Amino acid sequence: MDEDLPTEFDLVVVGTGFVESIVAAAASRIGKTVLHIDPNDFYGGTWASFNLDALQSFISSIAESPATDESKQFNSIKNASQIWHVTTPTATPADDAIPEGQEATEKIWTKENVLKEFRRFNVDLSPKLLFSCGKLVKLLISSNICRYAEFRAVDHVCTIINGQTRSVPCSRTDVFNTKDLSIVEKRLLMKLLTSCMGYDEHPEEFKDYEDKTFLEYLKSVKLTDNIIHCVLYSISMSNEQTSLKDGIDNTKKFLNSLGRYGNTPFLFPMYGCGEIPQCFCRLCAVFGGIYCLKRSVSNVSIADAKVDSIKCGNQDIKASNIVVGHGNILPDFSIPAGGTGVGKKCGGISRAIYITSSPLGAEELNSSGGGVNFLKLTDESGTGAFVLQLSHYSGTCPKGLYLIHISCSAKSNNPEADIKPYLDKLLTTDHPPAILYSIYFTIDACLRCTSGASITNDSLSNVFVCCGPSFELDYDESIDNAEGIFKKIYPEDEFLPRAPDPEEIVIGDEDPVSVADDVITLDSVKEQIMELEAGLLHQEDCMEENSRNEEMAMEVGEE
Amino acid sequence: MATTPRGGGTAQRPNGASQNKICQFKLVLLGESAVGKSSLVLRFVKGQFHEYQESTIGAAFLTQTLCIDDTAVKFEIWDTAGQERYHSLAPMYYRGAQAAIVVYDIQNQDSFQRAKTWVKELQRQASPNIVIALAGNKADLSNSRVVEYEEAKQYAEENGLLFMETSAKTAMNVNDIFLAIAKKLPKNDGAGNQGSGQGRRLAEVEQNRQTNNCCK
Repeated sequence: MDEDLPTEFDLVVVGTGFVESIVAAAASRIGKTVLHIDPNDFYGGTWASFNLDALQSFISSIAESPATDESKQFNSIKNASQIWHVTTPTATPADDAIPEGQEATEKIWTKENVLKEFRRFNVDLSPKLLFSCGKLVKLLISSNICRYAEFRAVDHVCTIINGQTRSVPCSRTDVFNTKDLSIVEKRLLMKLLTSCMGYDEHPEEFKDYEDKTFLEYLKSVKLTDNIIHCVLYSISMSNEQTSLKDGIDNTKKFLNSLGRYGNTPFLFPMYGCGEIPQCFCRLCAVFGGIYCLKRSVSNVSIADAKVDSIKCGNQDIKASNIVVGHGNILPDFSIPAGGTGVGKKCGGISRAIYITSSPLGAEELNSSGGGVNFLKLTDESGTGAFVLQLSHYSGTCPKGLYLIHISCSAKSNNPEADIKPYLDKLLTTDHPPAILYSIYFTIDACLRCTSGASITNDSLSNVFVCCGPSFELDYDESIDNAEGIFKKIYPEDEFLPRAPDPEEIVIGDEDPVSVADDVITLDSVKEQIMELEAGLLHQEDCMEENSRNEEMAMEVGEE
Repeated sequence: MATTPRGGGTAQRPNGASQNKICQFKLVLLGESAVGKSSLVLRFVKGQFHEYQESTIGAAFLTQTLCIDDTAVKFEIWDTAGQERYHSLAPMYYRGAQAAIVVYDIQNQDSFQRAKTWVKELQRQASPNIVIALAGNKADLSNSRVVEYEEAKQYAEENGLLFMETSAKTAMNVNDIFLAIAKKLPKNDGAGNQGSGQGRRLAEVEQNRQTNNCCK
């Protein structure tokens, strides 16, 4: 069934990562013809989620391939290593033999029985959290793509104080319920948060600290060390050098995202962040985009400083514009030499993934089998690390196991060494996680950020290169990147306008009025149920009645 | 029927309000291109059939509600949007689905083999409790049949699938297969409220608000 592809498109997108998928969806949404290909046999590229089996092969394939192998698509990920910390027990105990002192419910995890559950894992290469009021949540809602995905509200924002992992009080209720703060501290904290929210209205309150750090301000309002720690490191995710303005902006962002979906400001996509690019791909497909995995571009023909057509398999495909994702390169694609890059680069992330058999922190942070918890770790000078603990509630690992993701800015080509100071902090807490398996790798910057030159302007005017994941918690920079590329290609068009709900879709020559009648109201459903109870209607009739009842319900509703 | 005034006036009826439940389920269609997946959905949801059905631009999914005893079963029906054509269906498509209809064309042996592959894929990757139905579509064209009814039925029984031969064109067994699935789905508390029962949709808050408003 290897059908040929159509041979002319408005846009060809190579790679199914987050940024590329958004551009593909946005172009398709405004009626452009889109071909979206990926040389891999999976969606997401550097943004993908893998089951444990696929993850192990993926990591081995990078670890074994030479660094300069140009045929490899995965040059965006390097320095990969993996190790099991548990082995098969030499004397295999029978399944029902429970060692002394251990509860019957506590399963003993060996490499074999972890691997047996490999399909229950969805391990992210680039895990992220969404601020409930952040850019991605807003985009998903405004474009109506949110209907494709489900999310888990993060259970706890944590911090480590004096070797103890503690939950940071997020909501007003949290603040008043927590036992970690005294009454006086609670009042001070509420007062501080209120004045941060009022920063724009009452800038005079902060006048003396305008050019000082956020920490200096926090100290000036006589907060205790406990509260300063929570506010500075966890709520505003700042460090000692963060300016007052940035500290307050971050605090406001955190507070603004509270109370929408759960107890904390954050959401995590069910089944992993790898679902998000696929949601955008689905929108693209729903509006006619064509999808083809395991296809790469083997040649390009260039005319007038533009790519005229690409060779894909044995076909020549004409494309008005080409978008190339992180980790993909076009053949003969000239990368301007030199240049140090302007502004923030994408990539440059050291990553660690641990599978653990116990969670981080005490029972109250992990009630009924574990929470989806977030922890921001800081260090004296650097940007710190994001720690994300995922339990089975997130759909990314089996019950009884946990995934702990750590991401930090890459300082060297040794991700394990970069991560070690942060891991040590976790391991020296009162309830350290028990690690069964660990993976380390580096996410590299995209070609454009690496070369630091503007490829698109200098060489090929219709080729656009997407950035890879940035070292940020949410997706803000990546969305800006995608919207920027879209606006360069289609400056006049709207970026991802709202897609219609199923109820609004008119098919063929259908009368739009009857479509509106398909909206099911509670009353009409009640009617049907009662009619069924009375045994008045045969099932098939019910379906016909369905529409008639609705018409009536609609009429009544309109009166 | 329809003698009682409606809309807000339901309180007069005994037992009505307290017993009804609405369960929502995600149902996905799988199968090779051109076996009639979209046509089955259109027949079921809109009662329509088009001989030369163009792919449904802009439809992420369609909804239809069936009544089973005291429960309204609302199906959220997802079509592949053509992503299966080059074997590139995204896994998120069947993530969290509680039901699937795997469709083949009774005139096409390859499509039956492909259907078996999809069943295997679902049994491996989808949620363990997923209800799977096998639909031998285009049953109106049985004079050019190559997949025997008995063969498919036996396969379905061996794999614990619901099975019917259907025709989107004549509407044969179309409502029935959805009804059979609806009957088999668990309708206990919490089931079918939102996907897997663990995650939540972002627009829920807004949607609920809208629903409440329009029912006033």
